[in-house]
Amino acid sequence: MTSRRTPATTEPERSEPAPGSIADVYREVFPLIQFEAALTKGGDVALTIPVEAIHDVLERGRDEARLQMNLLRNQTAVDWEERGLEIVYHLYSIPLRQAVTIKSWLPSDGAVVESVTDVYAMADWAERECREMFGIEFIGHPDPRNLLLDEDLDIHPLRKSHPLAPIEVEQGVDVQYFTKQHPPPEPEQAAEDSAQPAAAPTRKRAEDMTEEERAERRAEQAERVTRARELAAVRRAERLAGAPPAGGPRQEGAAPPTPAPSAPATAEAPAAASSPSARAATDDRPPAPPAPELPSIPDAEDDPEGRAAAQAERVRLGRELAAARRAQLRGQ
Amino acid sequence: MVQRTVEGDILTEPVVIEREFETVDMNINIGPQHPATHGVFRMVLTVDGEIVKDAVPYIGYMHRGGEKLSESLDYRGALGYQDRTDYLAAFNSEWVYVNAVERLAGIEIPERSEYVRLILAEFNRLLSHFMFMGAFGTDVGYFGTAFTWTFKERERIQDLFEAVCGDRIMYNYFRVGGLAWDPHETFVEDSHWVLDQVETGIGDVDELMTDNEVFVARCRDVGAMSAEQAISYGVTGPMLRAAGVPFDLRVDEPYSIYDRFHWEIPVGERGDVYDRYLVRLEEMRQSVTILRQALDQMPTSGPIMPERMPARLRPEPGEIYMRQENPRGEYGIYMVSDGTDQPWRVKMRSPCFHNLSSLKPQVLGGYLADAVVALGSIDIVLCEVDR
Repeated sequence: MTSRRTPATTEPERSEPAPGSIADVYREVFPLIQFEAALTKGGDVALTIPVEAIHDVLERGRDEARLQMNLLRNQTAVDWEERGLEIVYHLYSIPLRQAVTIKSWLPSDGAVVESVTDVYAMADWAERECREMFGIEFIGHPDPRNLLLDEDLDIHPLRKSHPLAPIEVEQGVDVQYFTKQHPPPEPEQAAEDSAQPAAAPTRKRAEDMTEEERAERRAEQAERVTRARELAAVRRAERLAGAPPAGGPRQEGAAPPTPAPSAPATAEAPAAASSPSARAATDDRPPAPPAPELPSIPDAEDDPEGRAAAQAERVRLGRELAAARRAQLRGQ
Repeated sequence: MVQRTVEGDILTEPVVIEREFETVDMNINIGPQHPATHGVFRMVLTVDGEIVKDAVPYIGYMHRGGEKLSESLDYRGALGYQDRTDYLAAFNSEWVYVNAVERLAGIEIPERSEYVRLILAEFNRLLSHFMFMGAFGTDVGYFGTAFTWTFKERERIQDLFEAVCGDRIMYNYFRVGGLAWDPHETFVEDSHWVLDQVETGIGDVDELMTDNEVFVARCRDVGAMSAEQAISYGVTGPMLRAAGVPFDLRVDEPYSIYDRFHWEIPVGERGDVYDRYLVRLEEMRQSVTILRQALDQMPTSGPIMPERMPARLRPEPGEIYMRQENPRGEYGIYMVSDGTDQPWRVKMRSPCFHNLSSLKPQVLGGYLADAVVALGSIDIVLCEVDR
C-alpha cells in the first residue's frame, strides 16, 4: 500500500509559500499592491488583494510575459457572514502551466466589484451567477440579468442568511421570495377595495395581480388547504373509530382500492380496515370483521423481549385480519 | 435585386431592374423542450433569412441548488449530488468530489482503489463519448443508426458498471477514502472483454461517420473558434483541444496516477465542429490505451479503504480547488472547510456551463441549421450546466 499524495496536505493553513513561487512574481510585477499570500490545501498559491486592484491585477496578469494567466477557470464567492464576502478568482496559465488564486474581501452589504468581462469573456456568465447568488454588484457588466434563477427573483440563495426552503417551512418563517416590497395600501384605496363586490367574475392571472391580491389569494389558498386537512383528519378519525364515514356521497365515486393479498401488518392494519366498510356502502357484501385490539410496543431499552413479542403479536394479528378480509372479499 | 434579360428586336442589351426589399429580422425561439437542445435549454435566435444575427441563451431550468444542498450536508452525504450533476460522467464527477475531500482532510487512499477509480472513470469517458457520437449523429442526420450503434457499446459499459456497483446511471460507488466495496471477482476479465468490443465499436463509428460526405459537409468550418477566443471563454476539454490547444489536466496538472501511463493528447487544427468530433473519437482510442495499461498494472488484491478512517470527518480549516479532466472539460470542486463536519462552501465548476457560454460567437453569422450542429458539438449536459 503506497501513498500517492503530495506533501501539500501536511502544510498548515495560511503558511507563506516558498520563495520563488508565483507570489513573488506578482509582487515584482505589482510593486504598489499589497499581496497577502497563503498556500491552500491543494498546493495552490492564494493571493489576497484589495478589491480596487482586482481588474488591474487580472488584466495585467494576463498580458504580462512572466504570468500569462490566460485562463480564468473559475470565479465564485464565499459568504463569511460577519467577516464579509470573499470573492475568488482561479487563474491558470496554459503556456507556463502555473495556477494562482486571487481573492479579495468585500462588505456583506453593498458589495461592489469592477467587472472583468472585458478581460475574460468567461466572466460574463460567471459574474451573472455570482451576482444573483451572492448579491455582489459588478460594475461594467454588459448584461447583469439573472442567469440560473428566475428572472424576477431578487434573492441571493447562497448567502448563509438564506436558509433552505424546508427549514423555513418547518420553522414557520414567512417566505418572502419577492423583495419588490409594495407599500401598504392607502386607507382610501383600501376603502375603495372593500366597497367593490367581493367575487370577481373572472379569475385573474397571477401576473396581472397586485402584490396585495397575490397575498390575499395565497392566504385564501392556505386556508383552503388547512380546512381540507382538518376535514381529512376528522374523516380519518371517524374511520379509525369504525363509525360510518361522514359525507356518504363522497364514497360512491371513489371506492378505495382492494387490499393487497399480502398482509398489511401492524400499523397499516387499522387504516386499511376502512376499505371493506367503505365498499360496503356501495356493495351488498357482509360487513368487514372488526379490527382487533393491537398490543402497544414497549421501548427496546426497557423491555427488549417484550418488544419482540409485541411485534410478533401485531404481525400475527395483522395476518389474521388480512386473511379474514380476503375471505370476506371472496364473498364467503 | 431581380435581373431580367429581354431578347428580341426591341432590346438587345440586358435590362437590370433594381428593387429595394425591406427585410425584417425574425426571432426564433428554440426550447426549452426541444430534441435539439439535449435537455431543458432555451435559446432565442434572431435571424435574417437563414443567417443568425443574434443568439440569447437561457439556462437555469434544471437549477436545483446542488451547491447549497452540499453545504447543508456532511462531507460524505453530499456525494450523491455529484451523480446528479453530470449524469453521463458520474464516476468522473464523484472522483473529483472525493479527491477534494480527501485532500482537504489529508486522507491517503490505497493504491488498488486508485486504480479502480481510474479505470471506472476512463470507462465513463468512453461511455460519455459514445453518447456524444450517438446524439451528435442524430443532430446531423443519422437518425437511428448512430444512436443504435453507439448505444450497443454504451450498454456493454453500463453492464460492467452495474456488475461493479449495482447501478447503471447514479453509481454512488466512490467513498471518501476509497470505494464502497471491492469490484466483483471477474472485474479485470470483464473489462478486457468490454474493451475488445468497444474497440470494434469505435472503428464502426469511425467508418460510419468520419468520411461520410454529408457529415463532413455539415460539420466542416461550422462553429469555428480560435484558440484565444476559446481560452477567453473558459472553454476546456475536447472543445479547447479541437482549437489547437493541447491542454489536458491529466498531463498539465497531473492528478491521481496518470503519470504512470503513456498516451497522447489529440489536438485539432481549426476548432470547428468536425475537429471536435475527431478529437473525441481519438480520445476514445487513447482511453482504451490507458485502460489496457491500467488493467495490466492493477494490483490483484489489497485493501480498498484505509485502515483507520475517522467516524466523522472534520477537516482543518482550509480550502482547495480540485480540478480534473472530465469528458466535457475541466470539472472543479472548490471546497472551503471551517473545521466542522459540514463544508462551508462547495462550488462546482461545471465545464458545460462555460463551454455553453461560448455558443453565441459560434453561431453568429452562420446558418440557422448550423446553430443546432454547433450546440450539439458542445456535448452539453444541462443538469451539469444548471447544477
